[in-house]
Amino acid sequence: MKKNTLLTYLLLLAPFLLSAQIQLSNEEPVAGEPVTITLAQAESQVVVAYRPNSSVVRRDTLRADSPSTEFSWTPEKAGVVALSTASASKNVSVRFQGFSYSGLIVMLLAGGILFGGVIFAFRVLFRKTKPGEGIDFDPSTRPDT
Amino acid sequence: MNELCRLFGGIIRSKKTFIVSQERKNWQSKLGFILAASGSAIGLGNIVFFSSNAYQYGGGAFYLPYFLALFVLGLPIMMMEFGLGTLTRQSFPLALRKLVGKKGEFFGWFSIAGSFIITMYYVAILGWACGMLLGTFGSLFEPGITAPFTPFETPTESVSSTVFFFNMIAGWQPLILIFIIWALNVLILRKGTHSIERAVRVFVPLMWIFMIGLAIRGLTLDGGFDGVMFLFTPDFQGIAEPNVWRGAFSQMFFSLSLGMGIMTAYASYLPKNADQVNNSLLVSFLNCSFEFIAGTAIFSLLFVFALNPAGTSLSLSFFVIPQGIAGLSTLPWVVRLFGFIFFLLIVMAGLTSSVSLMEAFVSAIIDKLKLKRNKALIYVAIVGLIGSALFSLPQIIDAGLSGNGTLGLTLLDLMDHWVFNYSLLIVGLAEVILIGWVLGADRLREALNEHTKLRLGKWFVGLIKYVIPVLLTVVIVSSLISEYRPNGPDGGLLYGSNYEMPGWEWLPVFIPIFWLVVSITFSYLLTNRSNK
Repeated sequence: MKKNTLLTYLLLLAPFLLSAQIQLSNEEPVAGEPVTITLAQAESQVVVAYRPNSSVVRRDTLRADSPSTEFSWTPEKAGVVALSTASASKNVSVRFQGFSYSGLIVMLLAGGILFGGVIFAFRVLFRKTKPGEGIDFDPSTRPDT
Repeated sequence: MNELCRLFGGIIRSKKTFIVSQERKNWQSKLGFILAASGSAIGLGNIVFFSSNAYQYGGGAFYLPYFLALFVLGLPIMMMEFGLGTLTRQSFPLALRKLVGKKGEFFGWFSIAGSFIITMYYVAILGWACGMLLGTFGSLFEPGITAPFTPFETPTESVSSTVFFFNMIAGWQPLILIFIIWALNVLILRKGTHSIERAVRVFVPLMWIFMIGLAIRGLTLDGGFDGVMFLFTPDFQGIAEPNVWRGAFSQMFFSLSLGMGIMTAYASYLPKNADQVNNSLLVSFLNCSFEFIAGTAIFSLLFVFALNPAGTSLSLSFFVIPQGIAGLSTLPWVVRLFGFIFFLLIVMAGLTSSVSLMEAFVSAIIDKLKLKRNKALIYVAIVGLIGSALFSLPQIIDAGLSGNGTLGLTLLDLMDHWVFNYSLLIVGLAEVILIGWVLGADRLREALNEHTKLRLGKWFVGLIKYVIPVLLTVVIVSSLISEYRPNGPDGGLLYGSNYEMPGWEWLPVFIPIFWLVVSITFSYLLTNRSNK
């Protein structure tokens, strides 16, 4: 078996098995607002991965001078974030602070182009053909149906 | 019209072609064709592959290469493939032969070979999706399940779709389900366009309704809208990565069913005066709009339940999304209902695509060998069934499941890597070079403009002759270069060399050689066989 594949499956299961060992003061953290991470076991660091398992993953490390069960963390970006220590891991969703205007603009632009394209093409499909513009679908050219 | 006949050497009005046209069935309506072509394009790739890529490559930032791939690559090639079908009223290999000669037919059959291999494992995946669909009535959303191999032997404390999936593929159930999927394919194709149209008139609208339903449910969850914003908010950190652009171009090719002979086969059942420019716009925009809705549904689930799509798009469909669905409600019947809708959606989307993949092959051998449709269907289905079984059942090559039961997945993974990443793009490159330079992109443009309400400008010629060949060459060459990574994270000289398969270490080397030898031999033999 491909090692990475097995690791992936174990990683998929791991958050459900080990997430109870990492608690947040606010289980729905908001970007830019500090939260406290509480661990079941004292650790010297917590690794924070923004958009884990992607090509644009970015990792930060929260360090303590001596092993501790509490870490303060201010999420920089909204999205799915993986928190992990040597013995536990947990995924959290960091909410947007206010509104994501860049997200809204991309959504409106992309949606406008795609659905606008569908509406435009449907209108052309059912538009009456002007003389000399080309012959549209003619059922009489179906000799065998 | 006379100009058109002169351009194509009179083939459109030749006696032989006229006889073929008389025998060829047609779509019963414009809508029937649009539903069938968009049903072909909308498949597993739209539901999970797009979301997986968007997550991988920076959310909203992925739309930049995605739209470029749609407008510069996807739309012109779709217009070309539709055009080949209506101008010649032949399936892909014979259409290419008529327009550019024997070398064109060779690449046509090469494309059919690749798409048939894809059909085999695509049906295997559909069989698994059927198993998960049945599981929604059984133990898929229940705790305490096991699979008969490490690390899944201990009963789970909570719902685990991963363990359910591995338990399912460890049994013989997938074989029966794969048989059923192939039988459904034959049933839908038995009367050609007539029966395809009847099926897509039910399946395609249902797919849209179910997907919109899932998106609405996702958006109305607490935090669902933040999930949608997570999809669209651009992260430009990785936009300069070649993988992002390669991902977008491959996604577009597969998503629009290009380079597989499907669109030419479907368009060959249209009257030759059909507006293929507008048809291409309609099918492409419908396909990408479906992806847009699927993305909102899936990202809202991922965000609300803090899931990340680790691994492949298969893991997203079978492990991650069901895990999110399990949390949709405290009422078990609501969870089962949404699970049922999701997997029924996957099965329907997959079925409309597998039907089109099979039709590309069946119509080609009917045209070439003049076989009866039912006979051709049975031959193709039997070979396909054997192939799908090989892809789906780990026991066939690993009786004791001692390799953790995933050797079947590994075989699929290896074949998918070579055929999906290279076959479609190689065919696309050959197509644009042959049509652009041998036939002449100008001639194709004039032929398409004969019957369109949206006339194509000179830009179309530039794209077909220069831009697309350069883009596809860059993508193929950069993919080949990235295969060589002796010190990379995956190790090995060839993809899969690091797989632990005692006794099967030769498989990663064998698979690409097997694909190339079989496809080239198949293409050579059929190209050199005289038309009956």
